[in-house]
Amino acid sequence: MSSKNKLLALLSVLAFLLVLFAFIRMLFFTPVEQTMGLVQKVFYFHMSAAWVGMLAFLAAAVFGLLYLSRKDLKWDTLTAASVEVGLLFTVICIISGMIWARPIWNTWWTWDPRLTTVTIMAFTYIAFILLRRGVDNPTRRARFSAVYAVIGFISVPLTFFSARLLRTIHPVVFGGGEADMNLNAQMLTTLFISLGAFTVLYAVLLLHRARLMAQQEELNQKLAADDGSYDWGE
Amino acid sequence: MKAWLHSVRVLVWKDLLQEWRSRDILTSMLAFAVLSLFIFNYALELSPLNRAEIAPGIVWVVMVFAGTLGLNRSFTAEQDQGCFEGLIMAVPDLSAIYFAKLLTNLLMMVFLAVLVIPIYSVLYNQSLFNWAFFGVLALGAWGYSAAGTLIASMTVQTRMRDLLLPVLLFPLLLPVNMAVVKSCGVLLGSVAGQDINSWLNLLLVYDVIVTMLSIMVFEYVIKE
Amino acid sequence: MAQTLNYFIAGYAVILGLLGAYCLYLYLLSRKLKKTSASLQKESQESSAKGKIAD
Repeated sequence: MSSKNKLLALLSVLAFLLVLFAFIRMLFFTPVEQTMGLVQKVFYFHMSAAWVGMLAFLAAAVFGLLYLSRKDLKWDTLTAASVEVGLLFTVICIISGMIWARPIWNTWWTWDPRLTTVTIMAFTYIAFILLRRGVDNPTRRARFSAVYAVIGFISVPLTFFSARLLRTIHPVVFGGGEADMNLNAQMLTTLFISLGAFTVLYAVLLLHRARLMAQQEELNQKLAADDGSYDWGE
Repeated sequence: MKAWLHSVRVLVWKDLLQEWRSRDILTSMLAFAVLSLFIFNYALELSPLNRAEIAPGIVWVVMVFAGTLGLNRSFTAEQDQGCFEGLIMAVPDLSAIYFAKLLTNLLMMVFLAVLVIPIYSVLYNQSLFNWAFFGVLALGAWGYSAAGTLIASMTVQTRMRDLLLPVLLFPLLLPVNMAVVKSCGVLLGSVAGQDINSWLNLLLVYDVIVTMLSIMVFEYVIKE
Repeated sequence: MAQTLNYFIAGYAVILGLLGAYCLYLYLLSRKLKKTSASLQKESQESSAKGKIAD
């Protein structure tokens, strides 16, 4: 195994151990929240997933800019991989959030600004993936992906402020809006450990996915080339 | 600068003339908009009281959907007839192309509004004649056209074209949608007087940021 | 305190389940790519051998 692969393997093991550590700490060494009960503990991984979703989007925009300035397709691979992994974490965040909300606010959904923003982010991610599917030329696909990743990312804070403005005008009818949680020191530590674990997990998944994507692209090109170059001999 | 303005003016004039001669886009947009108004009437059985409240929402939604027809077509002529290279060589700076297309799309939206609003007023028996309302619609149309022009310039070069435009564009438009509908609600007097300055600021910020960003990245979309 | 054990389990089932499913997807994808790349290599070796015989 090359040294890069060895490093990635090591990092993967580290990510797994960190997530396991966070999980165990959450399960056994973090107090249960008073009003919400056990389900509040979903919050640690839910919020970490949200954080990674945002981070992945930011990274995708940065990788996109790097592609536009350097024209090296490896940046495009990283952009696409970051979006895919980010979508995974965003979906995890949304679904776990809905599961958490149901017993607490007696509703699956609220038009809370953060929830609205994260869902729009998910739609933008999906649109990104569809855009890539619609372009066959690798350099054109890379340019379009980079542009959309950047403009998509810029729209996130704008969407967040719009949704927040909406909320100040229309108070939430269901439930308590902002999660009124008092986090004591132990809970905060668990949260930070989860955030850290998920960040490392993101990096690992990103690198694995990017590596596989590059391999996929290479094989696709070889297959396409092979279709034409069979010399049956005259 | 003069050359830039000149090329923008020429490009806008060319597109408007082309559209005037065939009247494809405008008639389809108009038909689509009016039909949508009819559908809304049956879909939302509204008492006169409710109607007043959601008038801006209906008008804006109709404009957003009908607008995609115009956006989709804004680059097809160049794409299908291979005119991009010629266009790129003809202008002093690529931003002129973007700006010209933005203006064309914006003018189409304005034209649509000019026709749709009186028709709405007649169908729903509610006067929407309010200059502030028109102003906010124009700001919204600017943001819509700014984002839409950039996205359309990309989707026209993909396999799925028209199908892809709404999917890519609508998530980006949420701030505009919210700002237009909420502030127009207040302006038309149907929602209790609230401070709409924040919405207008947000809308303006969105318009400026998206336009500037699009100008910066447009060359990567147009040039191979 | 609210009895929310079921939701807690459901929440973590979803989180860990989706993460696990994605890791599985990556693993299966890497296996498929290895197979495709191996068969492509074999094909190119065979066709270059054929080429030599034809000469």
